[in-house]
Amino acid sequence: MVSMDPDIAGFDEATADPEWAALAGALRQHYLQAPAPATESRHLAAMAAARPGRRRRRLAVAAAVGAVSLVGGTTLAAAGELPAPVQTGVAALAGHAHISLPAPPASAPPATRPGAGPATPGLTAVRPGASTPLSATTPTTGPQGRGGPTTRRVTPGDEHKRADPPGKGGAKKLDDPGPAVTTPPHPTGPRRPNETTAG
Amino acid sequence: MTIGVSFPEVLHAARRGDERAMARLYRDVAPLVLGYLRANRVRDAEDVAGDVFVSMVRSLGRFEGGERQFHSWLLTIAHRRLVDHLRRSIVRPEHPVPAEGIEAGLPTVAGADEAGIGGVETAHLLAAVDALTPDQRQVVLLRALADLTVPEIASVVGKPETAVKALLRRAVARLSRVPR
Repeated sequence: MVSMDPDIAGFDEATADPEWAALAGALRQHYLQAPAPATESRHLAAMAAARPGRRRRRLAVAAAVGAVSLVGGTTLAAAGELPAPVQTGVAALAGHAHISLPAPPASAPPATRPGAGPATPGLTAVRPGASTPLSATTPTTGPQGRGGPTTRRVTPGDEHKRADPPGKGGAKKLDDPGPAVTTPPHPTGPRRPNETTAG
Repeated sequence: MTIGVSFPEVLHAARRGDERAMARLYRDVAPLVLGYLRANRVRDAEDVAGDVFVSMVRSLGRFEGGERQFHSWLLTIAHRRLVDHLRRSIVRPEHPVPAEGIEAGLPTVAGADEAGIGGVETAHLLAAVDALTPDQRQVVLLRALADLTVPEIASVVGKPETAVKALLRRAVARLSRVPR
C-alpha cells in the first residue's frame, strides 16, 4: 500500500513526501508526452491562422476590398454604366431612398402582355406604377436625317402618347405605318369637341 | 518542460505573432495540456487541445506574469474546455471511452508499463486515478502534472481553497489504497 499523509493542511509541503513524488512521477511519465508530429503540425497551423497580426491583416484587406467595391459600384451606378438589369435594380432601390439614378436604355423589343391594350409600335410595355423612367424606341430618323432607331425618354403618365407627335419639331417621321394611338378619355371631364387624336 | 529565463522574450515575440516563438511556447505546454485532457478521459483530446491553443493565441495579449503563471493560466483555459466537454457529454451522452482507446493514443514510454516508479504499479495507479470522481481527478492531476499549489489549483478550477484541499485529501486517501 502507498502510505501518504492524507492531511492536506500541509499539502504544498508534502511534495517532499517520497510516496507522493513517486505517484506524481508515474503520472507525469505516463501522461506528459509530446504530441505526434501530425498533431503538432495541425495545432501550429491553427495557431498561426489565429494569431492577432494575421487577423488584423485579413480584416484590413476585407475592409479595403469592401470600400473599393462600394465606391466603384456607386460610381458606375451614378454614371449609368452598370449592366442593364443591375442598373435597373439599383435605380429602383435608390428611388426608394429618393435618390435619382439613371435607368438603362431599353433595347429589348416591346413586350406585350395580355390585356395591356393595343400594342403601339415603338412603345415599350409600361407597368402601372413603375418608378423607373421608361424609354421608347421608335423607328425614326435622327435630326440629321440618318436612319436607325432613336431613343426617347418617356415619363410616367406619358406612355400612351405618341413617341413623336407631329408638329412638335424634332425628328421627321418617315415610315411609321402603325395605327393611330387613341388618346384615352380625359380623366377630368368629357372630351372636347375639337380634340383629335394624333396621327 | 520549461523555457526558463528566456520566457519573457519568447512571450513578447509570440504576442507579436512570431511563429517560432509560438511554436516554442506550444512545445513547452502541449504535453501538459494534452496530458491533462487525456487523463480526464476527454474524447478527441487532440481536437480540444487545438481549441485551447487557438484560445491561447487570441488571448495572449491579455496575459501578464511569468512562466509558472502562464502554465496556470493556460490550464485554466484547458479546464474550461474540459468542463464544456463534460457538460456536452451529459447533454448528449456518448459511449464511454474505453481506457484502451485513451492509452492507444499515447506514445509508448520505455518502462512505463512495467512495474513501477517508486514501487507503485503504473497500471494500478492509473486505474485508481480513473476511479476518482471527476473533481478529485482534476485536482490530483493539476497537482501531479503541473505541480500547481493549492491556491493555483483553486484558481484554475474555480473553487475555494478549502474545497480543493478537501478534494485532495479524499483523493489521496483513495490513492493510498493502491496495492503494490
